[in-house]
Amino acid sequence: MLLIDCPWCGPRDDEEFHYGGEAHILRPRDAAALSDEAFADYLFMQQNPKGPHLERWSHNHGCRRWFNMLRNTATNEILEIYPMGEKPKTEAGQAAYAANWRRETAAEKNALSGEGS
Amino acid sequence: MVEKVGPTPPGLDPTPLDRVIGPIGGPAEAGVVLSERRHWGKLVLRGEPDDKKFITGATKALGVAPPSKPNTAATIQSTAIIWTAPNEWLVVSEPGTEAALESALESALAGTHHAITNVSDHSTIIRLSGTAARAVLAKGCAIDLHPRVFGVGQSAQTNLAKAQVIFRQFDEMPSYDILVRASFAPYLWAWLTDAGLEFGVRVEG
Ligand SMILES: [Zn+2]
Repeated sequence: MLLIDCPWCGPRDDEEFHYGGEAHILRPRDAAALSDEAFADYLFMQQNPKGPHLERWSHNHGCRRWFNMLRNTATNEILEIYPMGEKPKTEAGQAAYAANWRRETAAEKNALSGEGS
Repeated sequence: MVEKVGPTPPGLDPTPLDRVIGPIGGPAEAGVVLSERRHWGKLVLRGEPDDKKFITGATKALGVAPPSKPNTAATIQSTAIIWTAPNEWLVVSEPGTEAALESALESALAGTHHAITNVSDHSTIIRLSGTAARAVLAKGCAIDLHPRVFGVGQSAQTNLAKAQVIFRQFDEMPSYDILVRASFAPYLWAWLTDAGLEFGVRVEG
């Protein structure tokens, strides 16, 4: 059993939660401009590391809110929990974010193009 | 075809538990006392807690502010306003009062971003009380129920013996009102009577 610290409800049994896959996958803004291969990076490819992994969880038997989590997939240690729409704040979280091959994909560059304008 | 198994007490509308509750009564010294709160009103209230107009309007209609603290319930007379999410509350009120409360909320919240949904028949309430009530509840959920953590005014939306529930503690006995989906209520009632067996169970009408 994992004890997961919901940002709203506090520590709860993992059976109350729903796993939502890898976090920080951005939908391309102009998908038509991407090759099928580049679009597949967004749609199908997951990182699946052994070690720290940034992922999304939902407290679906409680407050039904989504949040992000940094979890070591080898030890199940939960290293950080942070809100949706934000980036990790811990050193380990920032390292995991930067090390993801997705950062270099055309799909993510497409998704970020024009951001802030 | 749905067959009605047990009797509904005369003059009352049926509830999901009528066919499972069985005879009323039991030992006076029972550690666990169970009853059903029949047909209490239940309204889902949604709105932004940072919206002053919303909070003021809701407070005016309810008589008490919707709690902003997670896992708590505010009460006024027999009405409870239970925190269920950062922008959502469940308002539980005496049977038959929900329609008037709904219109009072609608008029007090006019012009604000909000939603009110009457979900009275979605669930029923099992009242679990007695000196062993905490021990029984602890058998089926992973919430820390120790009085220093979970006391009067606390609530939780969680799983109890795998059934999704919302419960709150309302006195020091301790006593809990457990909201459970209508279709899960007979199962949860059976589970509670079984879990309470070692302490003695009395059923009240
Ligand atoms: Zn939660």
